[in-house]
Amino acid sequence: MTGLTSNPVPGRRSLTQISDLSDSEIVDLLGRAEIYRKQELGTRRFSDELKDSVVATLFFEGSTRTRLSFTLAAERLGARVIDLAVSASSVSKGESLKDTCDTVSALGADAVVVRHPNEGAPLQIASWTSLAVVNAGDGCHEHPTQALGDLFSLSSAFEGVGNLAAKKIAIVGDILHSRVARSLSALLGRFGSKVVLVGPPDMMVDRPSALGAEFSFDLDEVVGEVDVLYLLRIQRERIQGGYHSSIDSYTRRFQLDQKRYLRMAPKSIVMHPGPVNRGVELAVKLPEERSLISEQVRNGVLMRMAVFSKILATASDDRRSQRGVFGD
Amino acid sequence: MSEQKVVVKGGLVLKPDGLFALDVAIEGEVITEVSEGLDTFGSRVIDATGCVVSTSFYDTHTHSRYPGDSEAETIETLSEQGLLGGYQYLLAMANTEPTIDSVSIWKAVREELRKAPIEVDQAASITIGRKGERLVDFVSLSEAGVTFFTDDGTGVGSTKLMYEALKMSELLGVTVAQHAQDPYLFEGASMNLGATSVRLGLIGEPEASESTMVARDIELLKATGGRLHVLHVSARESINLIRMARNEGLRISAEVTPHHLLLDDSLLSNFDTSFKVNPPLRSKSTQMAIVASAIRGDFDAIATDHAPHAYHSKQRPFSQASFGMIGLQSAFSACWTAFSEPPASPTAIATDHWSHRAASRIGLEPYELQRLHRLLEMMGPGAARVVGRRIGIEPNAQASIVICDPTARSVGKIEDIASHSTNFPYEGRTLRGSVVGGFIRGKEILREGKLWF
Ligand SMILES: [Zn+2]
Repeated sequence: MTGLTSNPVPGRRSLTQISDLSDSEIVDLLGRAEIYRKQELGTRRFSDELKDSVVATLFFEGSTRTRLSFTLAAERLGARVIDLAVSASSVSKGESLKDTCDTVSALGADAVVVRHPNEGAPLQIASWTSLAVVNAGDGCHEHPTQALGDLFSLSSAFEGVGNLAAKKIAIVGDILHSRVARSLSALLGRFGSKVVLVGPPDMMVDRPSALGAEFSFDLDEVVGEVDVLYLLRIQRERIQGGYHSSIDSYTRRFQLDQKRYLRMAPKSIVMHPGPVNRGVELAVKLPEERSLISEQVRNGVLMRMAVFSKILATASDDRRSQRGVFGD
Repeated sequence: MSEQKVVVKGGLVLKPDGLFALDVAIEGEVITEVSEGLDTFGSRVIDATGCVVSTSFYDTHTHSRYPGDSEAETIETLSEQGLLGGYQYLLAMANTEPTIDSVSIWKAVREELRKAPIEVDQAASITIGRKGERLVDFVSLSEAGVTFFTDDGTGVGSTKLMYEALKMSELLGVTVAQHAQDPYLFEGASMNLGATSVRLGLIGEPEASESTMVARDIELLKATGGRLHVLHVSARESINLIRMARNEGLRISAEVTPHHLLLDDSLLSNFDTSFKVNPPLRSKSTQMAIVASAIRGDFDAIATDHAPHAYHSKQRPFSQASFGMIGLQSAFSACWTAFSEPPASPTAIATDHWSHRAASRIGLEPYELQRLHRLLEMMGPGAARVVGRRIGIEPNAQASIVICDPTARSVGKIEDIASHSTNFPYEGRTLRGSVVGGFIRGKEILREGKLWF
């Protein structure tokens, strides 16, 4: 199937994983984000194109940063945002995911932004309900809006998405548990970039080729030849439960420190989805022109605006045409 | 029951060495004649033209959900699906609530199952509560009439307990059936390990989880004697190991499920929990290897592993949803659909003038006729042998037959399935072949694919 995942209600479309998007839809999203960037740089005033829409955020797993980014994006376009406080305990108690979502539907939301600790939950919600679903991160599966925002940052940095074809991008960290790595590899693969997954063996996926990527267990082997070094956030408890007995032994091999930074190509760039664990994955002060880290946060909001605009414009068109039919 | 003689005419009849154009006469509860051009004077004639006539099917692996989960299935809905699927006999697994692990529970459950309009036999567990800590009382259970022991749902992880269970099997003449799955390699997994699990970010189980336990059990079988049945084989290496063990003369049998023959793990790409099953659907290449093995004759039986679940236990995040799919009613069509893929070189298969004629009689290629024979062998006589029965279409045998149309096509629809559960994996899929008629002990059960009694 090409295009955004089709839902039972015509016009309602979801973004649950990168494969939901066709190449032209991705280019369209980049174009929309670019328009919002120009508006932001100029008047800082955005249209209220989504003023009739209601967006619900449904975070089964805490993430203030991501929730704020989505909320800000929706509000900038005039949508109303309601946050449904769902406790982590409702997940552990095995409360039916569908029951929760039926409640969201009944409240009249047009779209729901879902963060869930279990892989596939946003996809399941999209297939079980008539809601337009945006995946805000599901377990170790995907985090598509993060990857799309990063693509937008890369496309700006390299002056056009067409220039990503010849680029080599290393993603470094806990690949096995990273939803960002999965979305990003899938997305960059579409534009011909060469992706190398870098991390210790116990944090590597079983078949990197399934993600269309190469792999390495040695950051020193790749650091000198990449155009982009994408550092993932490291969770300390995962390090200590695994192959490296301490953070120290991990950082010795995989931290971007001064020595490794100096080996990077002159115009290469460092990225990170944030928030950075200073002294763990990154231990060097990066000059502004070599880091996209704060740009990524800004672009994340612009890309989420683009996603809402694309998904909800169709939904509110529907509503308008329904009004037309019923003549009120 | 009417005492009128019945003649099933014009079909291809299942015999040990092939499918032959024969007529079958039924009087009372038995088959009285099997030969060409039977006289039909004064008889009721069942026209089986274009169809095959097989022994009724036996299922060596059913989850009845009795006792404990009437929301998922009842004895009535189970029986209905079984009869519609062409089955005469179902072997119920012991992973119920409570576990069937004592004589008193086994007797009570069996008493209840006896009321079913289909024969349902009950297995007992190998270990108490299926906890893998202590063996059940094999001697008392065997004296009470249990012939089949299994912890199905989980493997017997302890090598020592499996050794002791197989020793019991040797001493008492009962069968021990293993759900081969290494508890450590399976830990946390909700699907097969492969490209799909990597993309979905789900924990996958390697095929070696199964094959290492099969290898271990074969070594234990050599050390103890006894009779081992390997449930729902899903790994390539398991098949090789079982073939070698059989060639060495060990008493080992193996079953394969319709879903491992027809489906592969790419179907999980959208986190559809209907396809979550244990052992998991494997890669396309393993699935194709399993089909080739089944055609070659590496399996004794087709077993449905029919596993109904109330809808809410499937409407959960993928990693938390229950394992299992329903498949009793659709077993023949699912398997026959899986056998449809033409061989790489059809001409390589030796056929004679006769098989060309017989095949064209029911609109099939000669190689398809050989496969159909193999399939019916596994669903009927082969499966019956696993549970210690000898069946066949011959004079004086019990008149339990099923009539299948191998060229019929239908689209899988949950509305057509008699279960309370909806975890049906063939929804919307075009299936080939259907069960159209059937008799059990001379009594007509199915007519035009519908229950008739
Ligand atoms: Zn099992």
